[in-house]
This record gives sequence, C-alpha cells and structure tokens, in this order.
Amino acid sequence: MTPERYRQIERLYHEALELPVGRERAAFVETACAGDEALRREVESLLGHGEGTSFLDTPPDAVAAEMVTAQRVRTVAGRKLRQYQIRSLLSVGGMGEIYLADDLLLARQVALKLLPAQFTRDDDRMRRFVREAKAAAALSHPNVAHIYEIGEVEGVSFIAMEFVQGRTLDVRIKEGPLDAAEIVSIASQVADALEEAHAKGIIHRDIKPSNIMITPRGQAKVLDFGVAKMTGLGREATVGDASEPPKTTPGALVGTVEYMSPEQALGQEVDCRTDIYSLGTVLYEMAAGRRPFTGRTNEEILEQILHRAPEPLAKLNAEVSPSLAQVIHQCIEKKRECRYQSARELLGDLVSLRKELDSGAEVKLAGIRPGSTWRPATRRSVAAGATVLAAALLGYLLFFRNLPARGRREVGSSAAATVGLGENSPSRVRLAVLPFENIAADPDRDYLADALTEETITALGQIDPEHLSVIGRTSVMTYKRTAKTLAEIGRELDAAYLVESSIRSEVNRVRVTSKLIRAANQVQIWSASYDSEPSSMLAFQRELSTAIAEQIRQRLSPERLSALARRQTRNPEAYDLYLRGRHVWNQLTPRTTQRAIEYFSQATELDRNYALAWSGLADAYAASPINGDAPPLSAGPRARDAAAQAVRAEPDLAEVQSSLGVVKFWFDWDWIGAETAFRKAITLDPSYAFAHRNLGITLSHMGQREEAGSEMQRARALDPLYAVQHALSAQVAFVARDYPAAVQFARQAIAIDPGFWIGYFQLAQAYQQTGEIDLAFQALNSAGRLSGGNSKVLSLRGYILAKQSRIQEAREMLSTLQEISRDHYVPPYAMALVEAGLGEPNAALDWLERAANARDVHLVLLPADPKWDPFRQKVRFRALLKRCGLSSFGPG
Amino acid sequence: MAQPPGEVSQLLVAWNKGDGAALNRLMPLVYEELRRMARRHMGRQQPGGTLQTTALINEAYVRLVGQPAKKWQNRSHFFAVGAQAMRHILVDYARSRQSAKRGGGVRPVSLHQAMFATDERAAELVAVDEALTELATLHSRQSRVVEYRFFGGLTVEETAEVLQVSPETVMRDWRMAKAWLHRALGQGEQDDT
Repeated sequence: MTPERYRQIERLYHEALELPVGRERAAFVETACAGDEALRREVESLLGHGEGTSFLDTPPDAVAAEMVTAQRVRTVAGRKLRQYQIRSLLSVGGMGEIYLADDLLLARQVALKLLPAQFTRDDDRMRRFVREAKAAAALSHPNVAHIYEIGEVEGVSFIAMEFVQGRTLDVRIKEGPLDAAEIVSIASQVADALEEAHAKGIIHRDIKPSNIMITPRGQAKVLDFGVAKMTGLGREATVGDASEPPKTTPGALVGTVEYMSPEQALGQEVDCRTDIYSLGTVLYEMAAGRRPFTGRTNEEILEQILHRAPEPLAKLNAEVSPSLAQVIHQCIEKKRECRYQSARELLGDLVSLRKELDSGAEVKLAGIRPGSTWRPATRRSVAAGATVLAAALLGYLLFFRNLPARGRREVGSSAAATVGLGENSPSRVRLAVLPFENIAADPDRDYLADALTEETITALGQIDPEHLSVIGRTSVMTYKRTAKTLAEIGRELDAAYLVESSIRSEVNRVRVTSKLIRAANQVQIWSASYDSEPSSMLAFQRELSTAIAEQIRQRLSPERLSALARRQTRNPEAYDLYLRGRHVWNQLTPRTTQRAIEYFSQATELDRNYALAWSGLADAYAASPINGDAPPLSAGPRARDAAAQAVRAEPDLAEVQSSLGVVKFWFDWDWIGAETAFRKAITLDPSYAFAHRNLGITLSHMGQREEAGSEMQRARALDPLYAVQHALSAQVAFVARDYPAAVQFARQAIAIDPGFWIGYFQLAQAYQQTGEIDLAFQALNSAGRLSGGNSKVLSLRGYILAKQSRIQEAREMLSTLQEISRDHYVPPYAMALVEAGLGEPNAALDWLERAANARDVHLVLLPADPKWDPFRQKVRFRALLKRCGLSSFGPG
Repeated sequence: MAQPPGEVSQLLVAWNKGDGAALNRLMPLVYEELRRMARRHMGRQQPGGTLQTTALINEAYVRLVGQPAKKWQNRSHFFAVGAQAMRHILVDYARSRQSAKRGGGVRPVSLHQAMFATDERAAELVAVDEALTELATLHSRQSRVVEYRFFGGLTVEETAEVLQVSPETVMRDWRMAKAWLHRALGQGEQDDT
C-alpha cells in the first residue's frame, strides 16, 4: 500500500463513519469505491475493526512492571540465603516471589518464598503469621505441600516449602471441563487435606485452583496452608479497622474474590465451613468450566455470592451426574448450616460418588440434607441487599485494599446494550417486568408466577404507551432463574426500570411482593406486598397486576417519564463515554479531571441533549481549578456554560441541579443559590451522594456546622467506600475546629485509597492544628507526591514552615510558587496563605485582592477556615469578603 | 527548589521550534533516564506490582527539566519524547523475552497465571510496535498519535498540542489507527492488500 492509497482509505473511512451503521453506510462505501473492489474491502474491514475496547485502552504497565521484576530476578538468582541456593523464579504473587532453590544441607529442591518487606516490618503481624505458619508446618499430609521452615536472614523473611512439580489446577481447568472421575479424585484429596488441617485447628481461607497443584501422576497438593491469614484474606475485618494503615503490598497482583464464601465476603468470622464452600466453587468450576459467580466487577461478583443462586450444574454440563451436582451444590450453599458441616462429612459422600462411578449404580449420599438441592434463592429486599452489599464491599476492601486502581475492573467498560435501540422514540422509557419468582418450593405455583408476569406486562403496556414501553414476554422470560444481576439484565434489555416480583405461597395464603427498581443503580423506588387466598388467586391475578401497574404508573408520571428519557442518551457510544468520564472524574486528580473533561465533552458532542454528560462536564470543569490549578477565569465560564446546557436539556435531574450548585458555590460565590440548588437536587434524588456532600461543604463554609456534619454523614452512608467522602468530611470537621475528627476522617480516606492525595492533604492540615508537625510534614510529602504538583500542597507546606518560624524555607517556598506561576497559573491564594503564615498581613491581603480579581476559587475558604482567624477583625479583610459577597458568613 | 532550565529544557524548546536535530540529542538523555529510573524502581517497587509508565515519564520530566510542577507545553512535548523512549524500552524487553522463550534461554519457569497474562501482553506489544512501524510509512501522524497516547499516556489535548493539530484531528487519527491496529493484530497477514 502507498501513503496515497492510505489517504484515500482514510477519507472514505471517516466519511462512512458519519453515516449510521447498516444499509446506508454500506451503500455509501459501495458507491464511493466505484468498483474498486480492493478499496471497498479495505474500508469495510477497517470499519469492522473500529469499535469496542481493546488493549490500546490499557497502558502497557504490566509489562513495565514485569520488566522491573525480571531485572530483580537476575540480581537474586544465584544468591544464597542460609543453606538455600536460589536457582530461578517460579512465580510472582501478591505475597511475594517464589523461587526454586537448592537446599544444600539436605540436598533437595525447595520452593522458597520471599516475603515482601512490608509484611515483616510489622512485628506484631509477623509474630501472628509465624505462629500460624508454624502450626501449618506441623501438618504432614500427602496432599499438603509441606512447609519446611520459616525464617529470616539478612532482613529477608522467607518460607521454605516442598517443591511440587506439576501444574496448578487453574491451568488444567483452562483446558476444559474435567471428567467426573478426575473431579472426585481431586475433591477427595483436597477434602482429606482439609480434614487433617481442620482437626489441627488450621483453616486455609484461600482455597482456589491456583492454590492446588496437580502432579504429573494426578496427585493433588494444597499450597499455602497457614499463609492466607498473612495476605489479609483470612483477616476478620471490622468497620472500625479502617484507620489501620494497609500492610499488604500496594499494587500486588491480588487474587480473585470468586472463591470467597459469603461470610468471608462480609468480613465475618470464618470457620472450617468456609474452606468447604471454596472447595465447592472449585469443584463447580472443574465441572462447569466456569465459576459459579462471575461478573465484570468485584462488586457484581460479591453481589452474586451473597444473593444469587448459582446456575444449576446440570444446565451447564449435561455430563455431570445428579449426585455429583448435588454434592457440589451443597458445598456452596450460602448458609453455612446448609453446607457439609465438616470435610469428613463431604469426604464420606465423595467416597460414595467414587463407588457410583465404579459400579454405575446410583448410591445414597449420606451427607445430603433433604431439600438442600438447588433452588432459587430468596431475593432479599433491595434496600437491605444494598446495605449488606456495602458491608461486603467494605469487607472486601479491607482484604484487598492493595488492589491498584488500574487493576480494578473499570465500571462501564462496555457500551449500553443495543437491543431495540432503533425502534424507540427518544421520549419513551423502557421497563421490563422480570419473571415472577416462585419462592416456595412448590412447583404447582409456577404457572401462577408465569401468568402474573404476563398479566403485569399487559397491564403496564396499556398505561401510557406513548411514554412507557414495556419489554415483551419472550425477552424477559429468558431471565427466569437467571444468575445475572439486575444491572446486567437492565443493560441487556436496555431497560431503565425493572419490576422484580416474587410469590410465596403458604397453607392458606399467597403473598405477592413487587418492587420497582432503577436498573442503573438498583435503587428501589417502590415496593409492596399483596396477600390473597390461594383459591381466589386466579380471579385475583388481573386485579393484582393492575394494582401493581397503577402503582408503577404513579411513580412514573408522564412528566417524570419524559424527564427520565431525556436523562439518558440513546447513543450507546455517548453513554459509554459518560460512564468512563464519571469513573475518572471520581478520582479528583489533575490528570483524571482532565480526562473526565475529555470524555464528557466527547459524550456531549455525540448527543447535544445529553443532560447527564453536560452535568458531568460542568462538575469536571468546576473541579479543575481545585484539583488541577486551572485558571478559574477560563474554567468558570466553561463550567457555567456546561451547567446551563444541562439545565436546558433537563432541569429536573439531581445531577443537573447539583452541577448548578457547584458553579454557584465555587465560581459565582452565590452560596444561598448553591444551597437551594443542592437541596433541590436532594429532593429529586435523595440517594445522590454527591449532592449531600456538596451541601455539606457549602453549609460548613457558611458556618452551619451541625447540619454540614450530618449531610457529610449521609454522603458517607450512601457511598461508604469512596475516599473522597471521608477526605472532605475531614475538611468539614477541620472547618468546625474539630481537629481530632478531621485526623480520623483523613486517615479513613487514606485507608480506603492510599493513592488519593486529598486524604494526606487533609491529614497535614489537621496535624498542623494539633501541633503534630512532623506528622504533618510526613503527610505533606505523600500529598505532594500524589497530587501532581497541586499548589495547595506547596502553599500549605510554606504556611506550616512559616508558622514554625522556619522563615527562610517559607520564603523559598514563596519564591518557588512565584517561579512556577511564570509557567502556568498558580492561584494567588497559595501565596496569600504563605504570607499569612509569615505574619505579613498586608502582603497576604495584596495577594487576596489579586485572588479576588482572578476569581480564585480558593477564596471560598476565607469565611470559615481557621487559618484566617487572625484576619477576621481587619478592615481590609472584611472589605474583601464583602466585595466577594461572602461577608455574611463566618466560622459560626 | 526550582532550578534554571537545563539542557533538556533548551532541547525541548529547540525541538518545538522545528529543530529536528534537537530531538536526536534529546532521545538518548530521556531514554537513559527512563531506564535508570526503572532500575531504581526495582528497589522500591514490590514484586508483581504495577509500574505506571506515565508515572515514570512524569518523574523523568521532573528530574530532567527540574520543574516541580507542570508547564503545559514543555511537559507535553517531553511526554512525547518519553513515549517514544518508553516504546523502545518496553518493546525491546518484550522482544528479548520472547526470543528467550523460543530459544529456551534463561526464561524462568512460570507457573503463575499472572505470568501468562504478561506473556500475552508482551506479544501484543511487539505486534503493536511492528504494526505501528508499518503504519508510520503510510500515515506517520496516526502512528505518532498512538505512540503518544498509548505509550506516553498523553491526553487528546496534549497530543494535539505536540502535533500542532486540533483535538478533533487527534480523535479521528486515533480512531482510524485503532481500527488499523485491531485489524493488524487480529488478522495478521490476511490483509487484503
């Protein structure tokens, strides 16, 4: 190909992209290529390769990391640790590197695990670990990889263990499902190992395929007994624990949550039955070729572990015998009382299965509890579910806080489903009535569930066809007893709302419960229960479905419906960009804020009426002077413009009102207006955490400490694992002069996200007030490293230096800031603060006046920030506040 | 704290003004610094941890240019050079890793699933590099857009700044180059031409 040819393809490619996919585009390419067949094929094949996510979306960081590790291996190989001569690297995991080594003393090969330094720095933790590992070392069992020695040499802690040749079970599973004989054999060996360990009081806590080695002769060996606790996996998490800094390896390649038991996921105390559960998931995967619970994100997986019934094995692999399926399903019962109660009990049934395989005659399984075979799990109320899920997430985070941001699977990496996109007018909201679930194990009621599903679909379909489109019966019936999450179903059906219902029949009554759920965030909008006599059920069903439909109609009034339709875009690409924008925006660093601006702008370019994307754009522009030192005189108008576009597209959205408030608060200094907007946002959607947070910040600066505190509390309750909520709660506590609380909040933020600079910044600011200056500087170092050079960190350092009478250094900081300002915008507030620290009120006020001219967003701090207390009586300061329209607010 | 702009800054300015020779003098400096820093990270970084290439380039910038904070233009230009250097470093590594694998060599026995993931990634990098080299002969700007964005982590706007084109053009180039690379990596030699 020649460059000229490529140009020709390029031109056609872009022109074709302008046209909708399908006939129109194909026809254009056809005509434009005018019989040049090779050209047409080129253009079409490029058009066919353009969409979707790809390796190009992830930076090549993994390779870079490995490159570094590999260099390290070269330095370690050949080294001698005591009697162990290191040969080569076997594997790298979250808990350290494992090397193959020669034990020169006993002339045998060993696997030598070197522990990361962080583990061993904590004496207490190390002692606990050693105690645990020593107990495990006492285990002697053919199916346990033996631990020979735990030791330390030259400051390096290591574990020497049996070197097992073979491959891990996960590698084997990737090749396809195992046959029943293999499964039963491996299961029996692992159960045997577990029985021995449990008898000695050792729980493994991390049974998963990569921890089970299979030797070439088919022997199974369980690895890492007594080690899991070290990794945090076995740690019994508590909510209050968040203040303890993470001890695990940052950025380690951590394991998977897929094998976690529900109690483990919730951070509850675990016993030997957690190992039975995890083994069950491994057996399930061996039989089905996939894990019982999967999802795009760990949150989704956890949700399933806690609430969803696994797909019956029989459905996934017809070869699996009913008795084997029964055994496996009993292992992965959600309630531990329903599982096998001991490895021994499980082993008993595995022996029977072995016999069944040998003889072909069905055997009786002694350990199976009556009625404990698979059945659809009771779906809990969504609200309660959300709380449990939040707890689970917290438990999960405490285990895996070391997970790097990049390692977390990104939210919204796939575009909205395209089902039926074309056939909908933009003003219609799509709703799906999910198949009614027959909760009681009474199959006689199944017909009733189906009939009610149909009736409700029909009744709803008649309500307001212009605005509400109800997805047809065939589409929804495929979700009967699905393992999919509501979010997934919503995406696949492109439904904004889901009606989820269940029927529970008892002796003399039938109870039907229905819920209306917003698919995007699974918020329950309405729920009700109806009781009826079983005999009158048939007559009742029309009435019932009409009642449900009517209730839903009231929740979805025409105004509301059309508002809802305007809220979301019909353009899947714009939706995808929006989700990405929200994802990066949440991180509040200069770089991610910039990325968010790009994503949101692109989304608004694709759909000019996309209110949420405009709102996101306004939020991101508003954040840029705060997090990225963007000049407010350019960011302000852009934020204001985007917010106005959002209002034009759809004023009655919480997000939009909140964006409006953000602009009023930071740029217009119209705090009363901001407060009104935030309150309106909260009325529109009480679950919108960002609006609560914004209201909290606004009230806090107005001097209304108490209400500010409770708004922040609400924000945290709604979004407990988002570090920003805690970091800004620290700000609110700081403004309220409650420095110990500020320290605590800041530490929580850091525990949740050790890479988030504002957490450290808040910590530094609070420590300065409590007089713990060393700690303040320490925190500032981290803040500086993580903030991407934010001026706030530098100026706070200058201020603290000045306050410590380190005048020379403070002055140097001042000149540094000024020097930087020659290159790019530095908020004048930064200089003002250092001058204030130096006790130069006039210089500080000069800077503040310049800040006012530049509409420096940081001036919002003046009315309430304790650092400005010495200025409150000064005439110039008061005049300045007045000029900014902020004179009626104070520290309260 | 701030240092007077050093050699690197001057070279960046010269390159920006269209002095191609400046780039040739710049590259080895940046390349060396990035390698040196990767080595230094080795002591700090825990095994298996990710190493962010953009963070490396950022750090190299701060060290070489002596600016504690970012200066938009210089920084994005530096990132462009850094992206190029990073591409060479990583692809060289990925390539040597592959040949070691083929030739037996000193490649460690890998048992861990994480290693398999990196295997794929390394193979991908080599393939991306080859496809990009080919793309450069057809449309050099498109290939540079990928280099800057993928290896250097430049944003659309920064890329536009370096290439002196509009962000829209960058997006268009990015989109088509992505399609081209997808095809090159997915279909290999079954290309139609």
